[in-house]
Amino acid sequence: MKTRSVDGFFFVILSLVAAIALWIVSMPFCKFVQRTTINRFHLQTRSFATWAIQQPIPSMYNLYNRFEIRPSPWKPEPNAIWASGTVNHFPLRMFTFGDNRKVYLRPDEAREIDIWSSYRGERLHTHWVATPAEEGGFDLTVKVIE
Amino acid sequence: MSAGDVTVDVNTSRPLLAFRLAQWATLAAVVWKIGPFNQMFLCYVSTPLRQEFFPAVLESAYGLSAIYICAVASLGIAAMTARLNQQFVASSIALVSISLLCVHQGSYNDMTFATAWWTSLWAVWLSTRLHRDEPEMLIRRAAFLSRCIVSMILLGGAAGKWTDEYWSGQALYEIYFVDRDFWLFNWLRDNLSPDSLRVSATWYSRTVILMETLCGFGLWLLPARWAAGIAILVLTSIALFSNYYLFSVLLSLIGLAAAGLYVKKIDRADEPSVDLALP
Repeated sequence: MKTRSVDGFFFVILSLVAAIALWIVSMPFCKFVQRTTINRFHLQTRSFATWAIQQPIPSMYNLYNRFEIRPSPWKPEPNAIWASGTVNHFPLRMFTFGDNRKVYLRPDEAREIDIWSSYRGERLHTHWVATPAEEGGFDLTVKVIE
Repeated sequence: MSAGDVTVDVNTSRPLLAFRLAQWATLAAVVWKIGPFNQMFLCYVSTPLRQEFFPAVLESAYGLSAIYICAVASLGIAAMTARLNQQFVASSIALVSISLLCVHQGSYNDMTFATAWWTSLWAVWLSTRLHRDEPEMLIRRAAFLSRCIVSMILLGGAAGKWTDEYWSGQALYEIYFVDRDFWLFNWLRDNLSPDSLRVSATWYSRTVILMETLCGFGLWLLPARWAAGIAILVLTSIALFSNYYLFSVLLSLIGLAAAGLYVKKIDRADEPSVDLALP
């Protein structure tokens, strides 16, 4: 016959769920949570490990995220913006995810993407440049604007 | 016979049925976009991107492919095997694989893997209890944990939309209503004036926010079967009315929420509360 035994794992998961729920609920009021989330979306967290442990925090269709893609170096001419729009989350996905690389990147041509995210007054703008690399593909570098 | 060699009668064990359904649902979620994922893999091979932020191994297209195959295979084994030790090992491998998919350069932004991660974590926990706990107590506990997780995930979706841009409908207007090729938005564009289309985006967005907020705060408080039914309805409606690709994000949660349907119907007077007490 089966008996009850200590189920510590259950309480660890339940505590994790409760802690993340508290984090989520504090987001509208806590600048630290807002800044941490925006930094996470722009891959600007101080370390990869700190960013990685936040990934289970649900964030679908979070923040207001916009992007603009242009040739590089950019000249402020009419029609110089090749693509722009709003994305659901993690706006750098326009370069990194799916077949977007095929759509927006061309061999031997540099490209720029500006991305903006905002949440209740907290904002971040980062500027990324994809430069063709000698070994193939692209090197992606970032400059934080604000 | 060791505990690891034990099998549980699938016809009588409600926790095992719930475990298997969640694993099948997670497997379905992970392979839902297998066509686009294949295109994505070919694109990553032909156009690698190097960033300082990601470790090299988490930028590799072949690494991504290997992790993905490992996740699919282990979910399939976990769903099919009758042996408890294999269920635990396969579920654990699936959890590790999905953890890597959550942080790989080529897949980190896809919420498919964030929701699959939570379902996999729940499945690993359940696999450690199948041979230890009395089934009726275990399924009530599993259902309680499942609705806590689903509530928290919906709350995460809601909180990020508690902003002017979502409440006014502007964000979802730009994402869906302007040019998304999907039956609902195509129909609205064909039948509404531009002004009415913009107003419909506002009410669409507010409905999403209110639904996610209500479920986020309330789902976990409901009785198991009610919570499961409402969660399945809400999660299915999100995909049916916005984007069929979202089934990759939602199927694993639907499987997780379904655990509540395995809790036996009982008279209210006899209804026990969830047993959280340690022995």
